[in-house]
Amino acid sequence: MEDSGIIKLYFDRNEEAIPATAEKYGAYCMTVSKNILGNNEDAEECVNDTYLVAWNTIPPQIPKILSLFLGKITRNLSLNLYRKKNAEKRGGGEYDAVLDEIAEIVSGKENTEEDFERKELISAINSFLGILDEEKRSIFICRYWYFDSVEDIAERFGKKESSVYSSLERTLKKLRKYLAERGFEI
Amino acid sequence: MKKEEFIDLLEDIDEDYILKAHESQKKGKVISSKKWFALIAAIIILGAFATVVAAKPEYRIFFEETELESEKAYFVCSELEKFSSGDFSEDIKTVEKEIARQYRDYELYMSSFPGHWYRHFSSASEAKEFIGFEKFSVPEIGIPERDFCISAYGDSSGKISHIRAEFFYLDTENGYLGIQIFADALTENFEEDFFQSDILSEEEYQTVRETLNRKKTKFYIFDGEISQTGNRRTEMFFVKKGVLYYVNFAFSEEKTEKAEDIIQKVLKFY
Repeated sequence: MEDSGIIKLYFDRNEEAIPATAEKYGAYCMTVSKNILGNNEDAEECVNDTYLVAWNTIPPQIPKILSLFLGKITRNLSLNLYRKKNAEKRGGGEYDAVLDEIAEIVSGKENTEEDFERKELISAINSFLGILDEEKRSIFICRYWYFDSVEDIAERFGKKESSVYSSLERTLKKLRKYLAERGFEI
Repeated sequence: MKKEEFIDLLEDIDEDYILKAHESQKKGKVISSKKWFALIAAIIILGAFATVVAAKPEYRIFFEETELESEKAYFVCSELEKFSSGDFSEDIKTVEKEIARQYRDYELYMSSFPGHWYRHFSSASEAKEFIGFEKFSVPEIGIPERDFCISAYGDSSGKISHIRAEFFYLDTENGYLGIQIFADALTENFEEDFFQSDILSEEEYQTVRETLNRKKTKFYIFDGEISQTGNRRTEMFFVKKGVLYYVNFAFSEEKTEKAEDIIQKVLKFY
């Protein structure tokens, strides 16, 4: 079913919207969630919660890109669940490994920035991503937005895992430098 | 900044970048492509067995029998005017280049299926100004505007064969009233004899009624109830100035009177 048809079901408050969403985007949401949580049971819980959030927010919201709308919800719910369940131990997904990589560029201090500064920071990150070539940018996003494993990324882009690690490391360092030059200490 | 905050911050990065990265994740999804081609093939084959159940000399709607999950169902088909590219604004012509680029850059398993371009607008007037197409028209609905989208479908050379405008309205104050208006225009590059836009179940088809307004526009209308919520819905198809319109009303009991007023307004406007 086309996205507009699925959105129409939500719009009509027709509960068929849920199975239609699951059929088209269930696997995608499961991938996003499982990458973070590392197990099927928790991922399924988050994906089911994603449908519930979609049901409660469409309308009034009308997603411009349904896949991304659902992906963001799933990512957010999965991160929250992971943090709740793994406050004191490491889980089986990619989350902890990603955090270890991120640790190289962040200060670890409490964030005191105002909301407007957050927007400026996102804008600066977007500018930085814009100057990367498409492959480096996609590798960065696959790792830090989708939490894809380095192994999967390497296979997908036809690279060795070591090349992916060094691409990510260089990109993170460049990002830190780029942001620092613009007055952002992250 | 803490690591977790940085991860959360990334949620809001440019959506185009996220989508582009997602395309790389689609590697290996052979079945979805096959399904897509099978669907196109099925539609072409079904087209060969079309049964015309209504007759008008030109620009008409008719229903074609088919099967949906082993049940009898009906395609909503229409013969529509085929407009020339000169009927649209210069802006829409730039879309041709973008569609051609989608095909040029297309990589099996790595890219979204090419040939579909769309853009959202902040108002109906902005959308209409972009498209510059006089024959797309919508009445003053009188409830809040929510979203407006123009879509174009084209081939590998960028030639656009079909343009769709979507208008969404929503009123949730003391009840629920949602209205969607879809307007489809074909161009001279659309090669099939008729256009299939929707599919009705046997039950829906049996309730379709025809209404002719004072401007001699023929409307095909059916009503129904949305299971679970009990909300009512009214859907209508009609052709005006060679363009196919589909209007969908979904409303709760409290909004019945308002919905019926707007339905009458639509019936008078076109």
